[in-house]
Amino acid sequence: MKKSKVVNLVLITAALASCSKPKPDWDSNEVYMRSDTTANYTHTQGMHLSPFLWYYAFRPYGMYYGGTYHHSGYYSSSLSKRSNIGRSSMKGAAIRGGFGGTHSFSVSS
Amino acid sequence: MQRHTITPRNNWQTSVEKLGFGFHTADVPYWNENAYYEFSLSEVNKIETATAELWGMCLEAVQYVIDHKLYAKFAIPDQAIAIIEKSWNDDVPAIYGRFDFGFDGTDLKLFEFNADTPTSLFEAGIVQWFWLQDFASHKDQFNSVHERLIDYWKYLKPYLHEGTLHFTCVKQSLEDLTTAEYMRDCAIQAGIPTKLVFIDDIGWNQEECEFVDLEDQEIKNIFKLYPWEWMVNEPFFDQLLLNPEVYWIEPAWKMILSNKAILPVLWKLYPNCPYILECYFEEENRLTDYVKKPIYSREGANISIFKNGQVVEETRGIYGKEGFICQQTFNIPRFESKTPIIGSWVIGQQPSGMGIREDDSLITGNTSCFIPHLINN
Repeated sequence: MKKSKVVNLVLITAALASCSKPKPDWDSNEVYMRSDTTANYTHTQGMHLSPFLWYYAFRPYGMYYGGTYHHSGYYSSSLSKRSNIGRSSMKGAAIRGGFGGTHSFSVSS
Repeated sequence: MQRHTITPRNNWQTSVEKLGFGFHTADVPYWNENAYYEFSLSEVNKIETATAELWGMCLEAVQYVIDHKLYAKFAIPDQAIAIIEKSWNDDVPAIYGRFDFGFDGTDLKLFEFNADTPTSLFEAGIVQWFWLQDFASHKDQFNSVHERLIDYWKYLKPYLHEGTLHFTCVKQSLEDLTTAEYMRDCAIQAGIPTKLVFIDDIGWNQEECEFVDLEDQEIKNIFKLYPWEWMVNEPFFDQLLLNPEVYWIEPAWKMILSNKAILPVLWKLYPNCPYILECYFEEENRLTDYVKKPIYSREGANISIFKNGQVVEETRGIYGKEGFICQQTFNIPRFESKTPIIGSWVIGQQPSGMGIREDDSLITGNTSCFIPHLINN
């Protein structure tokens, strides 16, 4: 036989069929987000995203100075500051957005 | 090879969505189970043999490019050469690639090799496998993609840096997210600790001279569904060069193999190989019936088909500034006005399965459909 005998998935169906980690007592029609797992979730007011669109929520932004791109935060009109900033004391040490800024479309090939 | 028109499964959309296949339909249907392709076992064996042989030739061709310093022909910037050669010499882990073939029932010809960011892995390994379970579970399919991915991650595990294997892709593409998450699924099943971080969320910790994820955990091994030819032109490439010990999978030497400039090199090295079409860099072209392709392009963009030196079909796009190659045309039989392309997977050095994409046009583009297949044995 040239086909796989058994195919099981442990992650992908769950990951792509729901828009967040397990969230007891949360309204399944709403979306709760955070950009840092040490931060609190934010209820995205007024947004009814398809589960397949949940990853649109964050857009790193920043600026260049000293010849380097410096990330400053996230574009998200529905995400509060408390969900962008967690307890990580190292958070400020990392520059983000230095990959991926010039291409946002699929790599499909 | 035959194409059969059939009735799709009842409520097939729900069936594929349960698998996590959320991009089965875009502006036009992408997954199409109104038909399937049937192959004989001897045809599949031919595809399998060609895939194995071409993989060996491709590795020889990479060595040739490195030995002869042909980087300018590949539009590879000077600053990328050191990391390409280091990743090659260190035999940094690599996992997969997809050869695209034309097949006329007798001859099988290589059109290109997607060696860095091949997509349709999930469709080939998962979606068409489950389709066959419902349609004709007693039949076979050239598709050990899933088993091979898990087995090869198990094999690679001791060779990775200790700790987490990160996975990354762009945020804005469900197709890319699904492919990356499928690959991560297989790594998890191989017993590897994993995390997902989107490509633009990757951080650089200047003090520690290391890449970090959103929780500031160091990134030491990372599978990227993101092309090297984009990375080399982005701000963090300088940082990448400062920390060359990170395992980027696919490794930097795939910049050579995923580049269409490898096609004239293969022709030069193996002119008698039955799978390789005559091919030249544009400035050396001597063909009159040929396909002109940018050395960097995606989804069939900026491709022109010439007959007797005249353009008979072409596509538009944003590619081409790095140069073109000219590859002899190969006529593929059309099935109900569709042109099929065979995508044959090599995973962990071995042929591992295939997926068929078909298009109304002679040029397979981003509106092509994925069609399942089976083996008539």
